[in-house]
Formats: sequence, structure tokens, C-alpha cells
Amino acid sequence: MLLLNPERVSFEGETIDGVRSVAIERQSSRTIEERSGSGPFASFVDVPERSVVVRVVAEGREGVRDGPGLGALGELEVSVSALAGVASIERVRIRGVVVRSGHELGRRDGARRVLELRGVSADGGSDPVRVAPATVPPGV
Amino acid sequence: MSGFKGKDLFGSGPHRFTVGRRGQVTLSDLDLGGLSTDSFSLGFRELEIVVSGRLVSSDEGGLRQLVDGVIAEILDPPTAGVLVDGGGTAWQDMSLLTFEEMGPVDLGRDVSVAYEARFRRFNVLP
Repeated sequence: MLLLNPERVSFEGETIDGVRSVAIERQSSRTIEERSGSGPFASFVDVPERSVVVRVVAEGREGVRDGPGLGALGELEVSVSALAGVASIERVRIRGVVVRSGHELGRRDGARRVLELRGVSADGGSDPVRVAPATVPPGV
Repeated sequence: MSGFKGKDLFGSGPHRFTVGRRGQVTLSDLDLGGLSTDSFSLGFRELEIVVSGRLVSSDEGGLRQLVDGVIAEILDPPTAGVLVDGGGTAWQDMSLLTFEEMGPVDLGRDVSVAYEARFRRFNVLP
């Protein structure tokens, strides 16, 4: 899931300014790949252990505030316009732990602030990523 | 299709057959306290076949039924039957000795567990 130029991004209610993108990636932490012996190819593949990796990229700004610290557990909330030209807002909520808080430099876009989280499931079975249905703000 | 005593115990998932060491069992004189390099043949080793694979079900209850189905074939005293591999090779007079789950149950798209089932052809059935 790639969310570009979200309306608002916050971690535990605290706004993260200047976010350009939020990328949510799902990775296999352990892959089962087994063969039956009747040929060279796997006849059974499954992914019983998974990781959700979230990368938040924001404009780099000078300052001494780093935002959420490493190991912080909280909810990242990303609000995006669901459809172009329609004033509806979709909210993606990810419960996660901050595993990286740093900066990167690029030739084209200068300094970027990067925050990485790993998704945490409440019970091990539920998805750390929840997408709330699009809502139309009142008065629109 | 593989099977033991005509039952499809392992067909829910991938599995392979490994045939163990075949030949003589010997004992050295040194092991018996002697001082020579002689060894003594005790006779043919009992054939052992290990089936290793993964039992697969759509839910945990189904997986437990598959496991229980295999365990139900471990009898005391052991009784012999025909073990057939996926290629159709049949081994006569095999008994199921042990069944071991080789790790925790994996909860992915399917519910599955890796296992090893050990069969033996007793020279003299207990």
C-alpha cells in the first residue's frame, strides 16, 4: 500500500508534518517451501509468519525534535483523500513500533526525514493495518 | 498415492520417503572387551523407513484429526502392514514406530505441521 501526499499523518495523536508518502509493505518472516519428491519444484508454499513494515517519508526540516523515539509503540494514523475530486477521507491506522528514526539526503529532493515502524498485532492474528471506510466531512 | 495398511495417512501435504541403512549389524571385539580387531556379524539390520513431510488442513481441528489418524496406527504390540510410497514402491511387513511433530503448528493460509514418521520392519515382530 502506497499513500502519497496524505492529508494528515499522526503518531499517537501527534502530527507528523510534511509527509510525502507512507508505504506499507508486507514481508514474509518465515516461508515454508516444501517438495514432494516427485520433481524439482515446491509443491507446498505458505507464509505462516509475516511482518508489516511501514516507511514514512517527510520533508527534512532543521531542528532538534526527532518525534517518536525508537521502540515507541503507538498508532500511526494516515488520512488520505479517497477519490480525486471528492471530499471524502479514508483513514489507515497502523499499530506499530518505531524501529528507525533518521534522515536521508537526495540530489533531487534534498533532505528527507524517515520513520520506520513494524506493525504489531493486538492478538497475533488480527492485521495491524486497518482501513476505515471513506467518510465525507460534515458540511461538504 | 502413498499409504500404510491401505490408508492415506500423509496425502494431505508434501512428504518424502527416506530408506535407512541396510545390511549387517556387527559388533567389534574391542567393544566386547577383547584385544583383537575382529568383528562379529549379528545378522541383518532391521529396515527402517522415515516419512517426513507436512500435514496440511484448512483448520486446526482438521489438522488434529490428521495427526490423530497417524497416531492411531502406532500399536502396542506393533502390527505389520504394507507401506507404499508416492511412486508405488511397496515395503512389506512395516510397523509404525513413532510419529513426531517437528515444530509448532504453522498458521498461514493453511494450518500445517511438519512431521517425521518412523517405520520399521522387525526381524521378529514383538
